[in-house]
Amino acid sequence: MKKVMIGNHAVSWGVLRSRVEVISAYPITPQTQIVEALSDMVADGSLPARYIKVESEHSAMAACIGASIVGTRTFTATSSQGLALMHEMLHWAAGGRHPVVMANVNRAMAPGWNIWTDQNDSLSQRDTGWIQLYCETNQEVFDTTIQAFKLAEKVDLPVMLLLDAFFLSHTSEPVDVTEQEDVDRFLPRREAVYKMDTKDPHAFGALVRPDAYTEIRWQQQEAMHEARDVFRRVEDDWEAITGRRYGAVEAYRTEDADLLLVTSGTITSTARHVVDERRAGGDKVGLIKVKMFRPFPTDELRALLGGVDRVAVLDRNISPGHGGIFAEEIRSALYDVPPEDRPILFGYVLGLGGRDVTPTVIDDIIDNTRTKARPEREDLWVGVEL
Amino acid sequence: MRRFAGDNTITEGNAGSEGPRSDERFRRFWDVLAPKLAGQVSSSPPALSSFPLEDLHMRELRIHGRGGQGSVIASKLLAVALFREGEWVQSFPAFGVERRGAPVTAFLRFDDDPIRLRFEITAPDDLIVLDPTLIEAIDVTSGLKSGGTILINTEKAPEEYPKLLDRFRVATIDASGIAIRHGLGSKSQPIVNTALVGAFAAEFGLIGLESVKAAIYDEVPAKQEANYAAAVEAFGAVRSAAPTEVSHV
Repeated sequence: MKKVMIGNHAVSWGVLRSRVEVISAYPITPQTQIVEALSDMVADGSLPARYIKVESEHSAMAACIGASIVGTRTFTATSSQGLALMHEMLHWAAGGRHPVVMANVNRAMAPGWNIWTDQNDSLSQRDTGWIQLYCETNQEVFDTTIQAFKLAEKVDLPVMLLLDAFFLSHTSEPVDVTEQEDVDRFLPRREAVYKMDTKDPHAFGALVRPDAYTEIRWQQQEAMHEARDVFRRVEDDWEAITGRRYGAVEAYRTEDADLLLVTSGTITSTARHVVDERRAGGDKVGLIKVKMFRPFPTDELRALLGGVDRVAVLDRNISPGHGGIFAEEIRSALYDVPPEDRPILFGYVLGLGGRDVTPTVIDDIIDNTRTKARPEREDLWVGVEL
Repeated sequence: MRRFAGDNTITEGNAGSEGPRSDERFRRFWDVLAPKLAGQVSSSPPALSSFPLEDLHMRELRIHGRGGQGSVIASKLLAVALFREGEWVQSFPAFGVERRGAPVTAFLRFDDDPIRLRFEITAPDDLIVLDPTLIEAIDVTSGLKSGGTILINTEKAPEEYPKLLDRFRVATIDASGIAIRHGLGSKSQPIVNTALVGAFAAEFGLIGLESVKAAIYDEVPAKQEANYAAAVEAFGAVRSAAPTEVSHV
């Protein structure tokens, strides 16, 4: 069934098809439509789930963790300040190995008070232990929502799927909504190995002394590493049913390229158009889309970027005092590439707080990356009017 | 403006100096940003769409209305109807905070192929204007391509817009009158979007009434029958006039 829908509702439909059992959320722009649609589905009986109303995002995540402990499939959605308020509970979900799935609509952090898109909200939660998957289209949002539950439940880690505020959340475009019986074949009921059960008592969240804490972190890290392979298999299964796959990293027209753009989220779509136009004019430029940010696809990026002359990373985020966050992570990944294969990396910071990134902007970036011997500094800010 | 702040080789920048003192930076900040914060100038970044998009078959449409008239739903209805006719579609509101009565903008792109452009439309092919007073209040034709069509909700005939007719095709429909006759919204604030969708179908010839009907029954939460009847009446009543100067295509 194909429907024209906003990105927020693509999430809601993905949650419906995943037969989620418990939802708990607190509204925040621009996410609210996700849980609004879900509460309608719960109210009219089309989604037989428990919807828990709470007084804050911190409580929403706490409720999801509690529901996950008893073995149910759980979901929440938030954005920006709401995600920040959840921060403590994000550690509890990941460290406790609860496969909660959350949609976060990427929205800039205040101040200045801003409801438009950038990635600083989710990237600020980098080290909480959540898998992070960034989406480019509403179709990808729908597909990733369903995949996220399978991935989370295979590795017992929570998954955050990310969609750009407004450019996806409030933009309507066609989405092929996979039929329920096909999703059921892909995603069976959750079978939790360890769960809170009065007939088989276990303790959760107990004191862990120095003699065991490191091992718990080690296991969490091993699960993160495993998630790379598991995601590949999850995509194999989804592709067998729907014919669609995205990859942790996608290489677009990289053949013979001497300059590669690296993007995530909706900037990728516009960048594809610019790459096609410049290719038509004989320019050997290509594009790398990074979908998976945690676990970081280090090997794929080394293989794709090593040996290329120049790389331009487009960051819709900033780590103040350092640089664009994808650029910094990619620089670090490339340290182990032999020096003669290491590209010159230009890190661009742009599109913060929802500022438009147009083809002209990306075209300028390609020109600048081609003509400069080296970048003057780690972070090159695009279009600053000061 | 410096295109790449931090890259001193292509900006006037402050190469070789310690840069401005912090109070000087604050003064520059306020010079540039205070007018934006006060809403005196557009907050859009400059140099938006000089990149060539002409080779795309894509059409871009901008809808102007006031909060409460149904501009955003109009863009969604057109998207659903065009998708039903086999087009790829993308519709979205101007991203921001909507207030009843204040100017509202919505956008629509459609094409044979999937659409990959994800930014606001600044050079539309055509316009729909839900409230004729906006033509005096704001520059609705900003960026509109020569020869494009402006579909206006008004009792007037197209020939009563000679200035617009210099460069654009003008189509008119009394969508407010139609909406009131079909009981859509109130007399002081009729909901005119479905009538304009019917007029669009007739004027542009891209969607049939069957698709208009399907879109209304899919997307309009109430009074679907009356909304469709309004669209049908508008379909038969739209008037249009060609631009007086043949545009240099």
